[in-house]
This record gives sequence, C-alpha cells and structure tokens, in this order.
Amino acid sequence: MGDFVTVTIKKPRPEVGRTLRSVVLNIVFALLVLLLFAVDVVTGTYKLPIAWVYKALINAVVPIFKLPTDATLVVLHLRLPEAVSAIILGASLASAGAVLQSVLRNYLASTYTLGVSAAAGFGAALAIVLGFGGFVIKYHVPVITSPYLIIPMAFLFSSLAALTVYALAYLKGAAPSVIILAGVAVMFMFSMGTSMLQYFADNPDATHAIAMWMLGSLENVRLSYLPYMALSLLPIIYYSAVSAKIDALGLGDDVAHSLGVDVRGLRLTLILLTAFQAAAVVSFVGIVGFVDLVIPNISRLIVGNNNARLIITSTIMGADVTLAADIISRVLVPPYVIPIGIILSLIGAPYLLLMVITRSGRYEP
Amino acid sequence: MNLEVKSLDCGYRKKPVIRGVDLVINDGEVTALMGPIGAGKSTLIKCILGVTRRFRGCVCINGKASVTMSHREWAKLIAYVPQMPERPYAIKVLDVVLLGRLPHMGLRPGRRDYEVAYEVLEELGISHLSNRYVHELSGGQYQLVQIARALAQEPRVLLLDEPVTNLDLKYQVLVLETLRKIAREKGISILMSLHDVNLALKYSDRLVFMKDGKVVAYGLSPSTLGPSVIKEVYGVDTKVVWIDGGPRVII
Repeated sequence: MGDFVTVTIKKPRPEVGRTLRSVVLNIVFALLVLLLFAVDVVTGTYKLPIAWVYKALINAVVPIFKLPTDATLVVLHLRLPEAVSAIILGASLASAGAVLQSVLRNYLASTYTLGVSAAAGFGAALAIVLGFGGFVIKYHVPVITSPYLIIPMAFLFSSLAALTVYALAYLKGAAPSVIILAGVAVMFMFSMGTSMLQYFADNPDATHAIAMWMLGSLENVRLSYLPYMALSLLPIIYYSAVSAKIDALGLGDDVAHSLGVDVRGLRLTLILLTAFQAAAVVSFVGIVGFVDLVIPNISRLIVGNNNARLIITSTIMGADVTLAADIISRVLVPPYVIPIGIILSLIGAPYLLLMVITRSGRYEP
Repeated sequence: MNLEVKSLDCGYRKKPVIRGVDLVINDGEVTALMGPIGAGKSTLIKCILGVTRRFRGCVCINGKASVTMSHREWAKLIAYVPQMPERPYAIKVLDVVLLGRLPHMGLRPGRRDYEVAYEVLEELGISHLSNRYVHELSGGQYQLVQIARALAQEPRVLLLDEPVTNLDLKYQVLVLETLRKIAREKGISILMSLHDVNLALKYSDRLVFMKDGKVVAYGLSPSTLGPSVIKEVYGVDTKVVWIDGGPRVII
C-alpha cells in the first residue's frame, strides 16, 4: 500500500492540469468583462470624450478631477447603471440557466420555462394598465414614467410564479418533469393574463408601453436599483458550494440519494433560488431571454458538464455576452438604442438553430 | 460488518409490495438475490438503501438501525449501483468516481479523495479510462465505472441491482469475478440481484430466492440448491449437475 501511494504522488497529477485550464479560461473571460465594461461605458448617444468618462468614474471613488456636471451626471446615472446592470443581468441569468439545466436534466431548460418572466410581464402590464385608468382607479400622473409601481408589481408576480412552481413541486414530488410542466403552465397562465390586460384596457398607449417594457431595456435602470439587482448574484455562492451535489443528481435520483444527497430538498431549493434570480433581474429590466438558455450550452462545450466549472464559466461568460450585446445595441443604429432583449434574441435564435442542425445525436437532454 | 434486515414491509404509495423479509448478509460474502420479474428484488434493494417507503421492519448494519443514523453516516456505509445507471453527458470517468467520495468530502475533493479514486480505478483495471467521457464508454465499461464509484465510497455494504443483465459474457464474468474478489479482500457484504442461476451458483456464496414479494428460500449455500426450489420459484423443471466441484443447473 505504501509503495502504491508513492507512485501516485510521483505521477503528474492530472487533476491539476484540468483545473489549471479552466482557471486560465476564467481569468481570460473575466478580463474580457473588464474590457467590455470599459467599452460599454464609453458608447452611448450623449457625446462625451472618452477620457472624461473614465475620469468621472474615478471621481466617484476619489474626487480628483474637475469635470462639467453634465458629464458626471451622464456617466454616473446613465452609463454606469447600464453597464453594471448588464453585468449583473448576464451573470445571474447565465448561472441560473446552468443550474436549472443540470437540475432538470434538460439543456433547453431556462428560467423562462419556470414562468417567472411571463409573470413579471403580467405584473408590469397590470401596473401600466392601472396607471392608465384601468378598471378601478384613475391616476392623473402618467405612471409609465414613474417606475415605482412597475418594479414592485413585476417582482411580486414573478415571486408568486416562483412560489407556485415551488409549491406544486413540493406537493407533487420534485421530479424534473413535474417542475417543467408546472413552470410552463404558469408561463401560459400569465402570458394569457397579459394579453387579456392589453385587450381589455383598450388603450393604445398602454399596449405600447407594455410591449416596450417586455422587450427588455437597460435604460430603465437607475443607480439606486443596482444594490437590489446585485442581490441576484448571491445565490451563485450557494451554487458553487453545492456543485458536487448537483453533479450527483446527474447520476440519477437513487444514486444521488445513496451518496447522501437530499435530492428533493436540493432540487426545490435550487428551483427557488434560480427563480428568485430571474425575478430580481427581470423586474428591473424587462423580459430578457436567451442568456440563461444559450450561455450554459456554450460553456458546456468549452468546459464540460462538471458543475463547479460550468457555473463559474457560465457566470463570467454571461456577463461578457450581455455587455457585448449592450454595446451592439448602442452602436447599431445611432442614435437609437435597440432594446437588449432584441439583441440577445438576435444572437440566441441563430445559435439555437445551429444547435439543432449540428445535433448529430450527441446531446442527451 | 453484517447487514441485517428484519420483518421488512416496503413498497410504493399505500400498499407494501414486499412483506416480512428477514435477511442476513455477512461480510466478505456475496449474496445473490434471485427470483422472477416482479418478485420485488429491485424494491427490496431500494428499500434497504432507504429510497422506497418502509412500512414496517428495520435495516441494521452491525446492529445499528438505519433510522438512528444520519443520511451522511448511512451513505458512508452503503453504496448502490442501479440496473441502468444514468449517464451524464460530457463528464469524465474520474469525475464520476470522485462523486463516490461525496459522503466523505468537504466542498471539493481533497487529496485523499483523489487517492482513493485512483486506487479504485487501478483495482478494477480501468485507470486507462479515467480521462475518457462516460458517454463514450461501452455498457460494460460504464458498469465498471459505476462499481468504482460505489467502491470509492469505501462502504461496508454494496447493493447492486442486476449488475450484469445487460452485459455480454466477457463483462458478466469480469464484473462478477471482481465483485467476489472485492468482497473477500475488503470484507464488504455484497447483495446483488441476478437472473442467471448458473452465474449465481458460480460467483456467489449464498442465494436468496424471492417470489411475489416474499422470501421463499434463503441462505442456501450454492451446494445445497435443489431443482425443487427452482421449480417453486420459476416454475421450470431443471436438473442439477456437478461440474468442477460445483453445482450447475441444466434446463
């Protein structure tokens, strides 16, 4: 036995090589995030010299430069929130998607199929419609420019959707099929609700406002929202801690149980956390899709299915892609800013098609 | 350490499918669980593991009942290999075997965990596969990987549900020989369900026959098996022949 142990230590340990590769990759992707952030803060419709932008950012931490007030305002209250929310959006949705796909054993799973985004849309629609003199109360202040009602309503209903799926899974057994069915049912329910609101409101402005909100835009994010959005990043710590247990789920529920994993509890907790991540993000930004669906699939091609690696890489790559999408949304047709939901769909849809075409039977859903 | 099952009633939903099972599996021995399809072999194994609903009775290892132990403690004692294990995509063999260390490891596999994994792969003769993706392996190779994963748990009891049913003869022999060797060398108690009577006779120390959720014959060492038992359990007329000092069943 002693001889054998000596031999093991002398051999170059393969696990060092594997981790090294993904660490290097993650560092590269993280540096890319910084680079894209630097580019994103500089792009925008309001013309500002590049140097001023960075000076304004430094000023926010250490006031050493003298700058005109409009530059400071634009950078701190427009550019910075957009860029930071892009990072938060990408990171939390991508990590949520990675976890969901592992937990539900389905590479097409996304937070959208949990019904959370559709419910947020409904909440926002309700807020908008009420503001436009819906059935009950007439507001005289145009609510569309006052987001105070929209965001809490969106979050309220997306939380409701999350809890509904959770409750159904809790009562009927946390099998992946149950969760997916419940999520899709909730999604249809709220989508229908939104359509009904638009129809009965009978107000073209309301319909327009709802449609615009649902496209997803980073422009609506204010500096003060960022701390709340950043909460959606917290579950990532938990995901990293339980990544080995999530891997065990991939071996089958019985085997996972034999390895000491609380299969039901873990699955339920993860569903709740991913739904919360989506709710926290979508309530502020609107319905943004594809990040949670596409990014984990791309990371999987690069780092494989080991969840510890998959989650981290997806998170960083999510931030990369969303920042890139934000930059594109600003430079494509200046001075218009294309809603980020559209850009992400533009990237995501062809990618999904590509996945289908190159499927060659390799993917096991 | 021995595994003891006392008056076990277990099943799904409201009704027990298995009734009044009493069983003792000794360490260092391989016990073959046999019986027709639907007799309750899988259910029994899953119940011993703790996955199926237990209505009555208890499962004890060395006198300590499973309900008195934490989930993690139990996981350190019993390992399980299902009949058709799920194969995750894009995961390497070493990763799967390392998962067997879950009951022992902290957040990440440590050096000891890697050592055990390498040892186990070496013992089963599949270290050359450690960096391959599991979805590329043949059925027999993956079965060996699963057994490696189960052994990495360093269990005292190993439960296998039809480990060789879907394998070709070469792997059937390889797996069963390996299991017997492991039981002897490590003093593990092994309970496995089998369909092939002759394989059971050659590679196990004790036979248990089940039918309709009950144990019909138990603890028979292979040398005391008679055609009457097989007739009762399977309804097939057979003859017992002695070859190379061991009994074989001819249809």
